[in-house]
Amino acid sequence: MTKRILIAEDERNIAESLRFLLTRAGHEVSLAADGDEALAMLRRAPPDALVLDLMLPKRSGFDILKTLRAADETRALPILMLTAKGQANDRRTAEDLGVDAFVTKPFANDEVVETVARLLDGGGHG
Amino acid sequence: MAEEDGPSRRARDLAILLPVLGTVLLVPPLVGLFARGDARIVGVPLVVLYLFGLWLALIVGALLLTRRLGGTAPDAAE
Amino acid sequence: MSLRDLALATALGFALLLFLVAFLADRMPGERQRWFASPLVYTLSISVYCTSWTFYGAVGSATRDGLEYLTIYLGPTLVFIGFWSILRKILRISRRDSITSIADFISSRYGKSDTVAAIVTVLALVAAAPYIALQIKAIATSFQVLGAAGEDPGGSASMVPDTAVALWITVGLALFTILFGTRSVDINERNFGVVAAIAIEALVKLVALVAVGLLAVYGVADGPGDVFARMAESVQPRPEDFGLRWVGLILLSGAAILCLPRQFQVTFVENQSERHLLTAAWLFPLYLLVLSLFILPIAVMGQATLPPGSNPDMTVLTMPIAAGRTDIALLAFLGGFSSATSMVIVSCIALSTMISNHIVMPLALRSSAVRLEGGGDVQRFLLRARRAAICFILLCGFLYMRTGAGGAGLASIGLIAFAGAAQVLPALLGALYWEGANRRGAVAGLIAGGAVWAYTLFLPTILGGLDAWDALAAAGPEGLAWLRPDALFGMQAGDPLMHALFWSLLLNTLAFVLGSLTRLPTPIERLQAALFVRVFSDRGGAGTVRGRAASADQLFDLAQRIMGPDRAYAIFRRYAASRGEATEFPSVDDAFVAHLERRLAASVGAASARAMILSVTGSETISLDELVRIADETARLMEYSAEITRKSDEVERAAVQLRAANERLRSLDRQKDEFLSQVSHELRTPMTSIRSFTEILVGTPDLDARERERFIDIIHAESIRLTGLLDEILDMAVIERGEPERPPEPVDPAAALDQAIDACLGLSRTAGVRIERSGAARAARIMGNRSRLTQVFINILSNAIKYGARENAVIRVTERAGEGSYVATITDNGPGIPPEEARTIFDKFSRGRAGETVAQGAGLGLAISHAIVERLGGTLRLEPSDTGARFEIRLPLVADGSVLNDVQSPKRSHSSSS
Repeated sequence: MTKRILIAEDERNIAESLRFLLTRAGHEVSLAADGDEALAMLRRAPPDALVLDLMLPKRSGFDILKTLRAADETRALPILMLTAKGQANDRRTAEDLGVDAFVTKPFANDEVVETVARLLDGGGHG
Repeated sequence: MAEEDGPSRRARDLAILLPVLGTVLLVPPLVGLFARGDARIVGVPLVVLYLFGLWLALIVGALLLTRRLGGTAPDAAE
Repeated sequence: MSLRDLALATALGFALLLFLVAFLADRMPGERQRWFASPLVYTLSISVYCTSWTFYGAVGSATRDGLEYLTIYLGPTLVFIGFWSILRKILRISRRDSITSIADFISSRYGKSDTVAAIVTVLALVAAAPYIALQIKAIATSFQVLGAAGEDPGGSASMVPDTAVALWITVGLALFTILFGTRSVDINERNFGVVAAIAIEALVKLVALVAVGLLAVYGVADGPGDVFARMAESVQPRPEDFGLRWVGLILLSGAAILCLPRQFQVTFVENQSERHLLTAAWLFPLYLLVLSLFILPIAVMGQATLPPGSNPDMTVLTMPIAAGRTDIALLAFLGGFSSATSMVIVSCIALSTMISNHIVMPLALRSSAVRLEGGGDVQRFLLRARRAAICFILLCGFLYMRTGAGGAGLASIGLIAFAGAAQVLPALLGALYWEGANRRGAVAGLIAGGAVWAYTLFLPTILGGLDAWDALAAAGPEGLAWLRPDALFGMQAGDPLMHALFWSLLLNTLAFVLGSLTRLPTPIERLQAALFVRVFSDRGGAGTVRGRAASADQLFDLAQRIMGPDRAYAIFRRYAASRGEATEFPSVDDAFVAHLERRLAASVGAASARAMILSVTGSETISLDELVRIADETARLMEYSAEITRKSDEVERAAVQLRAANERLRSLDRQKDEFLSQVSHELRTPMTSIRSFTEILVGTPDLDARERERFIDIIHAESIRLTGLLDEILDMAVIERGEPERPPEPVDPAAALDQAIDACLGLSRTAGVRIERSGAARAARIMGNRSRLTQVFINILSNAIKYGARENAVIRVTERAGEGSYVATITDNGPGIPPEEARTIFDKFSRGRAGETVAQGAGLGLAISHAIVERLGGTLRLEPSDTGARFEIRLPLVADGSVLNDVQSPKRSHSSSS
């Protein structure tokens, strides 16, 4: 069955490629261009999985992550975090905050698609 | 106070009074009284006798006073 | 051998004997020296009061004015039998505070002021001149009398002394006094040698005068009866002799016994024990009585037997000669010699101490001639100053004698000196009995009294005979008759001495009282006032209030310079022992500092000692005046400590700089890491798109053509973006290195701004930002690179678009040209830039924390813009603004060619013509 996936990414072209990839993998994809928009969409219609960029305008990925993990309905939401920074401490921070998967830009398309699939199967969490 | 003990109050009063008395006796008008006329005793002008006599009396007075006040002076052993 | 040569030989032999006595006395073991510390010796030393004036002059005075000469001895008699009140009090204070002189005493009382000390010293010095002159004259005259014995039995030719003889006597006295008074390097020790010599001279005086007196009574006359019988013809006392002058002279001599520097010296400074005063209180008046007793018959018989026209001042000498008793004449000569020399020695010691302590030393301290902290030998310096002062004092005396005053009778010369010394009396009595008396009063009184004395008494004696002075004396200065020196305020007193004494002491006292009442005493004056006036009730409370910090070593260093190492060591050691401290040096506290100050004061006087102590201890809580007084010395020391502070400041500054540099290095390191991370991030972003779409293109064969084209376009655009990013980084490197890209050319900044706005139009439209442009700067020209300038504008505009307001965003662009500058401002209405970021916003590598939430650009834009504008000679600043961020770009204008010429040509012609 189709899963709904939210992509929170400010870089339009990256968001475009992600949408293309995940749509082709059979998911229903929506886009958010900044942190606030992402949160608003998450509240309105919680997706089955979230692809979250770390450096978002207005509200950082960490901030959103924290907010989501603090709320009951999104505590278990599978989250894939993307970052262009690739620094080890960012990864640790993300994992501490309860992220399910962490992918560094520039990414291999298959890696993203497979990770999302794994998360949706419930294998990623924990 | 250092002056409470030591010589009697009378001695101290006298020590202050002695020069005052001496001054009064040595200046006019008193001294002038003895220079009037040509009064002499055994050929000596009266005023000469008076002055030297008074002088000597003051010295004796001072001598007696210092004997009585002697206890007060601190010894000067350094 | 003539009588004169015999007398000369006798005098020299006597002087040698005195040296021997002094030598032995100084080298005697301590117990034997006690003999010199007896009340008898003390009393005899006080009789230094009886000088040639007494020895020769009193007979002259008795011959001229009858019993008047007695006043000179009655005044001191009254003071001494009244020892309990005044003498004892002065003595107690002097011993407690180690007072060195009358000037020191007065200045100590009035706030340890060296102004007061200097005034008293000058006054005493001037007043001493006639007194010293009197001694020189007496000795010179006595020599002449002996030389002319036979031809001139009455000594009438010797009224005016021979200059050459007087000069030799002056030189001799100077040598004698220097040898006696300043032999000891240790200026601090009580000088047993001098005291012993003075005591012997006092005995010689007494014996000689009594011998002459006995000769008069039993040799010349037939016993006392005969003397008094003849007295009727000569000195018959009358009631009018005991008038105002009688009272005035008793007052004057009473003041002199207290105020004369040499009397103060022997009575208070050289005193060994307060008990000795109890003896002197009656024995000294007795000594005076005996001398006075024998003066009368000498005067009577001299007048009766010596030829008319004889010099009555020399009767003591001429009568034995006339009677054929050369032995008694020689003894009399020796008595006169003793009277004169003892007076000169003690006066010179007292005055030279005052001069060196209160005039030379303060000046030396001020001019830094004496280095307290360096290797200067203060002791040697002081000793030399004292020797010089002795010569100076005797020279003054000699010169005074050479003036017209030299011809006057000995007694009248002496009285002038007395009247001068008596000017200290109000300040002295005020010091003892009036706590309200203060420095201003003392200074005013001393100056007023001294001036009136000099004007009415002293100056007339030396200037009298000069036409200018005589005219002034007759009509008054500027014709003001009420200012005539002999009739102040129209008071026509027949007696110039009484006239001068009245006015000088009256004005002195008035000035003293008024001066004291018109100013509140300073704390140190109040303290000293209490310590003096209440000396008997305040037991040993001489400590002054200070908070201080000085080490024992420092204090010792100071002390040994003044007193010599041995003595200083002894003082320190003894003090430590008295406290039960086992160390060599006592621990320094206020009590010890006060103790040491007193010991130093014994050498150099209170004021100088204070200045020295302060120079070491540094701190002072007493008064501003005192601080000002020692300002120079302190300033020097402060400079020294400032130097040390400066050095440690430098170290401190270097450390701070080092810390700052370290901090900056660390911050740069952090910035570098962040920058690399930023660059990495910025490069990764386009790379991500390129890689992802490339993989899509490769991995998705069924992609429709339209989409494939779109994806290829994206890859292309992101490649361009990547290139631009790399360019930006390279730009930064190039601008940073400062390498010229292209030669500068005239650029129209307005056109560059237009171009930048056009370039940003797309971006602003997408973001919904309105750009408002105002102002005009057409035809302005700057030198530079147009594309670089455009880059700057674009950068700032795009920043304003990116970071400005989200809604109703407006960017205001203004420009103007004038006063040599082109100025453009770009203002957004966004949240603005927080102050903590404003400082670093132009830093290379710096990317505001906002960057975490707003990931735009590589963070180099503003740094590049800033560098570009600086290279154009302008400034790029973040201006304070109420709404959003406001950037100002200011660039220097170039004038166009014609203007350039207009401005420069006159200058050039001007410089060529000059």
